[in-house]
Amino acid sequence: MLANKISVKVSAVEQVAPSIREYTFTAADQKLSSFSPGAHVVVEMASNDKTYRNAYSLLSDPLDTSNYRIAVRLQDKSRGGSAFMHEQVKVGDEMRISPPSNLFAPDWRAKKHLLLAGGVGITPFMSYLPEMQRRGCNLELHYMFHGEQTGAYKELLKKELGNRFVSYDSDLKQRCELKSLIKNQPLGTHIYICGPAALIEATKAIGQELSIPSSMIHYEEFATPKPGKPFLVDIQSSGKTVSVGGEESLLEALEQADVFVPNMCRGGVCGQCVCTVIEGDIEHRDNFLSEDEKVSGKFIMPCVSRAHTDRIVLDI
Amino acid sequence: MRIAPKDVQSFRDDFTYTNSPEAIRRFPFPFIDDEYRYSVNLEAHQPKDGEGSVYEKFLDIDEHYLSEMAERAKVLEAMPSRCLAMPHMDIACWDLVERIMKSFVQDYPQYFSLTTNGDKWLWENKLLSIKDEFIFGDSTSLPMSPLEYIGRQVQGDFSILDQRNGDLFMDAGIITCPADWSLAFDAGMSFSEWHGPVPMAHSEGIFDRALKYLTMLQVGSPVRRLNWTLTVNARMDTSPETYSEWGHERASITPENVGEKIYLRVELQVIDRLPRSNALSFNIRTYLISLEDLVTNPAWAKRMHRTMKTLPPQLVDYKGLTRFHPMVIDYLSQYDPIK
Amino acid sequence: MNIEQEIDISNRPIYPSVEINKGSAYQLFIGETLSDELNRLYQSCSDHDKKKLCISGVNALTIKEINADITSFLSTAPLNSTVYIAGSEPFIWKIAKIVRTIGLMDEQIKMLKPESKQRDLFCVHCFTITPGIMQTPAQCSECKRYLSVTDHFSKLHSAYLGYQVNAEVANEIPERQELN
Repeated sequence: MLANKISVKVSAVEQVAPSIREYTFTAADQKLSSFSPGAHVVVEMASNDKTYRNAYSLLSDPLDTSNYRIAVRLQDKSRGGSAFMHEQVKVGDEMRISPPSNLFAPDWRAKKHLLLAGGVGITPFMSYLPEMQRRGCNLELHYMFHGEQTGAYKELLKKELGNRFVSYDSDLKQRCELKSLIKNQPLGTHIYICGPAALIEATKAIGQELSIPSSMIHYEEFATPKPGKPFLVDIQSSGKTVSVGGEESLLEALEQADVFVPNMCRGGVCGQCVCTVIEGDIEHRDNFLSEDEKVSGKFIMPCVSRAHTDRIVLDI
Repeated sequence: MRIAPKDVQSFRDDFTYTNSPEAIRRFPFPFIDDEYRYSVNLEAHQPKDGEGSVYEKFLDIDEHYLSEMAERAKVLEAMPSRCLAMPHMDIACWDLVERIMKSFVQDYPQYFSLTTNGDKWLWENKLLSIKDEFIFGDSTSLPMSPLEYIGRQVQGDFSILDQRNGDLFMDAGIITCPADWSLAFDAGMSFSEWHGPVPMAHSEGIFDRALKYLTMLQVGSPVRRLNWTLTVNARMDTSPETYSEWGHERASITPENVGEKIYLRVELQVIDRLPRSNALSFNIRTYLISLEDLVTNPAWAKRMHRTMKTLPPQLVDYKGLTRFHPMVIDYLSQYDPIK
Repeated sequence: MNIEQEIDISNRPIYPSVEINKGSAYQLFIGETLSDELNRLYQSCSDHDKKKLCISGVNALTIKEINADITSFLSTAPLNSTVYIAGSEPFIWKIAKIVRTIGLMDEQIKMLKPESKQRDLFCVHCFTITPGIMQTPAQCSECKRYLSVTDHFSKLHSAYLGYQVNAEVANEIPERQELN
């Protein structure tokens, strides 16, 4: 929810892998609050013609409130946000971010934490490690990446974790045998995945196959909204009509038109942006609404979902 | 003009508790309709109703501060188990210490000061003549557990809820003025479990919706709601643990004493996300007003008559009002043109 | 305090019927006695990787000893293990607490329907737990108060909440009723 935004200054920018840049933010007017391991912030990127908003995991130590650090991967088919970060943001720039929120906190009851990171998905685990080390947790980090593009922080992690860290560079044909890795874990191990959808789906499928309770498998996937066919939205309260382009989400289109909708994860999981639908056929792409709610056609999650029909009417 | 804490009055035995006219004026009257029903009545905890109102600050300190702190001390002396924190809640308890101290310093600088030098903190509470140095995060550097330490300096009970698997668990709390529930028994329960005994709310999906909403709460965006019941005498500690001591008072109400002895008990619940632990703090701030003080506000008297008259029997029973509910209605009816 | 004893307004545990978790690599069966149902489940799964533990009469082993036995059985158990528990309701929840502490999640703990209607009663006044309760009101074994037995259940204490039944009027003690 960018309603209570924090102003920050970019104090450092560092290339940490061929396609990944790390940004350090320091407080501009109010002090930065501490956060919990796994938290993310939504960064507002204002360019001349468009404002982008993307969620990024904080990778710094939660107890260190002198700065927040995030890492941004330049997406191959960037919708604009990561391209903006890589091309336009430099040291000294002022930006606005949301306060940290957390949808990916560790389960501290775990006897062992098995962390599976794919590419830039290493970032939330970087904020896990300091607290897990402080608590003396049993942990293991498996990091899968393409050496040519990603693989940031691998030397640092190797140094810190020793043999609790295993890396797999797919450019060197190193593969992680997920199924045997998971199968051989001791009782009480919780599994955490952050990375591309394929990695998350593969792990979930293995979990199902091996009858591992889903409450032991935790994942965070920053689903970027996928493109779709353009459509129109009528705003009930004002009578305004907003047009949603093929490459932007309904939420983004509304924000561009100065129609504010509460939101948090911007990826279809948290439920904050739910809107009531008065008319129109919805294409649900979220992971929040129940089956009944989706079938009823009365609700939509504008951050990821779209319309089947050319026009919908929202009660906002 | 916010009234400063006055000298200690009692919430037991001789019940010397009184409300000043200002306390009556600012009382958080909970009924918004002529009929009362459970709802997810959560709203953003933003300042409302101007300077001196109960909603002005994050935590409300009023004229009863010293009385309530003395009462809390008495309860903890007799039953230390009223303050409980499971080991994994240590970080959350320290989160709460920080939240309360910093908000007190911001909102009541005349009473509190905090000087920090890295993790060396110096805290001063002028109202209770407390001046302590401690290491933030190090429970051994405080004279008692962090939850008890800060709990003894703030009005209202606190429970701290651990968030796991999309659910909330009551894994810590300091509860010395409960409206008839036991922390010792409910410890470790999930959101729907500790609400188990509440009638008429589960089937309406109220708890599911409230839970979904609360698990999404963010740091810096606290919410609040009001809850209510009726208590005999200005008794703060209406715990099940001490029910043997106060239960008989429910059978002591007569038409002659109902206005004086029956108190409307309102809980202002403030729910706030704690940053380091990702836990939720739940302040249950209790306000008491006798019926005879309440009826000095004609609008309140009339509305309360109507809500009492239409209260479903299951709620009357659940809230423990059965013995005197008809007398309350009769007493209030004299203030309502519609009997 | 008159908490209604309506079935739909309590948090009484519900015990759905138990099936063997076929995908599980290790199955542990724990019974207060070897009940027919528990034995049937035990026999129904293949010999590979299963273990039976029978504690005849809950006083035969102390909770400490039970804890030690279960811990040792599960010390080399794989991630996808399942535990099946049979016995009285308090027994089931006490064992569940032990295995949860070892690291099992709720989905891995299968509780068979309790074999008796006996409840453990938590006296909210003196915190003593009185076992073997079948009626309400029931007397606290420690402070001797007559307690109304509610359906408010605590997994932590494996017991139901009881509060003094005649705290409002001393001679108002309801007739004893069987608990359902």
